[in-house]
Amino acid sequence: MPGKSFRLNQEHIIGFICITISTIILSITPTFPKGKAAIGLTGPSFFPNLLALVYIVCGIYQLWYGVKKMAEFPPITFETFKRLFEKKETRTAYLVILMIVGFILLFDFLGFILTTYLFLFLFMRRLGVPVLHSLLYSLIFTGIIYFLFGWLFTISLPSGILSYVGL
Amino acid sequence: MEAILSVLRIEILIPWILAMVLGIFVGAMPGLTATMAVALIVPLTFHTPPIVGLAMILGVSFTSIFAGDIPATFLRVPGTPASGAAVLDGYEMNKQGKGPLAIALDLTCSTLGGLIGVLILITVSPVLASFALKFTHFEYFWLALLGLSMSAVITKGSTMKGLISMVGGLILSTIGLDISTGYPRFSFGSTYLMGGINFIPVMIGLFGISEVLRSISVTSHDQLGNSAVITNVKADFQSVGSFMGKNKRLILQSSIIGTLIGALPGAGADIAAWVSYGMAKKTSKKPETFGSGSEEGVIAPTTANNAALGGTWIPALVFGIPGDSITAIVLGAMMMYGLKPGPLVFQGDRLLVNQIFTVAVISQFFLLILGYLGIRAFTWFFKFPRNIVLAGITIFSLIGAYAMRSSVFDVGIVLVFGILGYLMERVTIPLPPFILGLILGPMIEENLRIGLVKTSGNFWPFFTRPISAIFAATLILIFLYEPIKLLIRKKLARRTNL
Repeated sequence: MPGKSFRLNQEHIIGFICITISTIILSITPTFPKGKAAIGLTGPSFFPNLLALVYIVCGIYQLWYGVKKMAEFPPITFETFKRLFEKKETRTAYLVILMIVGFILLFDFLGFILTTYLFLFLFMRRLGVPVLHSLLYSLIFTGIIYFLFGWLFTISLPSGILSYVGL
Repeated sequence: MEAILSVLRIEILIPWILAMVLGIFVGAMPGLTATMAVALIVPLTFHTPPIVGLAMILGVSFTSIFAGDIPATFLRVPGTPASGAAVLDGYEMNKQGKGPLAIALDLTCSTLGGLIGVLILITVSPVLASFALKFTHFEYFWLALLGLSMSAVITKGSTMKGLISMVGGLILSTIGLDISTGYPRFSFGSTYLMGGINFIPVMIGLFGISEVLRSISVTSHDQLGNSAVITNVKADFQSVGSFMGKNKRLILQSSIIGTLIGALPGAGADIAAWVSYGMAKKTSKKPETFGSGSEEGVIAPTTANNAALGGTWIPALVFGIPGDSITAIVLGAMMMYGLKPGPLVFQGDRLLVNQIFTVAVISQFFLLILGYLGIRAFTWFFKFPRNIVLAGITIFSLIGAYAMRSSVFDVGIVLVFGILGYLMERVTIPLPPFILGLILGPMIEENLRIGLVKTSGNFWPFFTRPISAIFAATLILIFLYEPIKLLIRKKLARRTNL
């Protein structure tokens, strides 16, 4: 690219990820047992290796494409990352991810009813639902899900700490 | 007759109709897709007999595709991607005060299109199934690869990104115990990973949670909390009969186009609607009216998108190859029920096949009734602010994934793939090829490896058997079509410049 300096863009990132995944696969598969048929084609490593090779080709293409179309894609810089945290809506999405992580960690300990209710309440509050509505809808959703899964399909949902009070 | 009586039982009818109601609700909510509706319903179906589950899935897919046309007509916002083409003339008719007629035409055509699609499915499937009995591992390898590649090529955006998504799904399918040696691959000592990555939490994450994250990150809190102001939402069936009579040929044409496109692996209701719209415009006597409130412009896409649903079941039932992301989910669900879709289903489980056909036909009649009620309830649906609906979808997705195996690990999978799906869509990598890759991965690998064992590692028979050769040639053509077209265009342009 005469006269143009290299600027990292999303296509390069996709290419790097493809190549990284392929490298990981190709570094793990030699530990797999060998196939019995000719040239080891039928062993457990054959198919993953084949896919890794295809992914390397895809990755190289993406890197080339990213360079070729450099002007079309906005460059990824420190500012790009900074912008990811500037918008309130994007921050809410991150917070929702954290809430789901919290849900996963607390689900067995607090139990289905408490975790679900708490999660729904916090989720709705963050999305701007008024307090009373949040309290009410959280209760309704928890009840519907308990009815469907716990009662109708008799799936065992964890009671958590509520089991100590006999619930 | 036995099939009809066996599905008209209260324990099947209630969940079936409730699922169809859910389909209307999800489909009518802009941003929530028919695939998402099916993904949400699947965890519930694991605790029911297979035919109940299949009736729920079939029902929800038909109603959600239609319901997407309701906001398309009254708000100019397609409820699902399959309703994109319905916006053009449906909304224009609404602006001219003919919204009730447009939606009545839409509902009637959706029902008719769906019915014709299902009838084609019933007629064609057994014939194709007996032909498919001749297939061996070589043909199945190519067929699965062909279906997968079509999904990568046909989905919107760059073919390379479709391929990246597809191979990503295939790579994920290799996690867990190896099918022939039992060796644990990429499990890193985890007993959860040893069993492989279950497609249901992956699918819920990719289509459910990623959509929630996307909606939250692009919509302001004020907008999420608002309800749309809409009036005049009703259906006017008075003059539908005369329009239908005048457009008999168009309805048939759109139904056939829809079914054929649906039957192509990878292409679904959205592509069917657009192609049918384009075809209708080409064959119309008044093409200039398209886009400004033409009845034909409403009839063509709405007939085709529901007809496509019947079409997508053809490769799914006959070959075990999904026609679109919805049937990909269906196939996965069928495997979880212990059923193996493919030509042998038509011999071994004839009653189930007939039950599926019966459910698909009866669903059209339910669609007419529930669709009509759905139109009337639409104003009420929209009183639900989206932030509350999103909360409901999120918790339903998380508990749905947990309920399958009572495993918090699966909820973690939902989150991981929710984030991955969100990021993939941000960089325009399509999601359907990924889920298709995950589902078809074991089939492709198994057939390839068994084929190679049979030939002692020789690849040649994969290309020399007649049907295999046709499939292989088609696959090569699919990938080379675009580059060749570009090359020819460039050459022609150069010639004209000279």
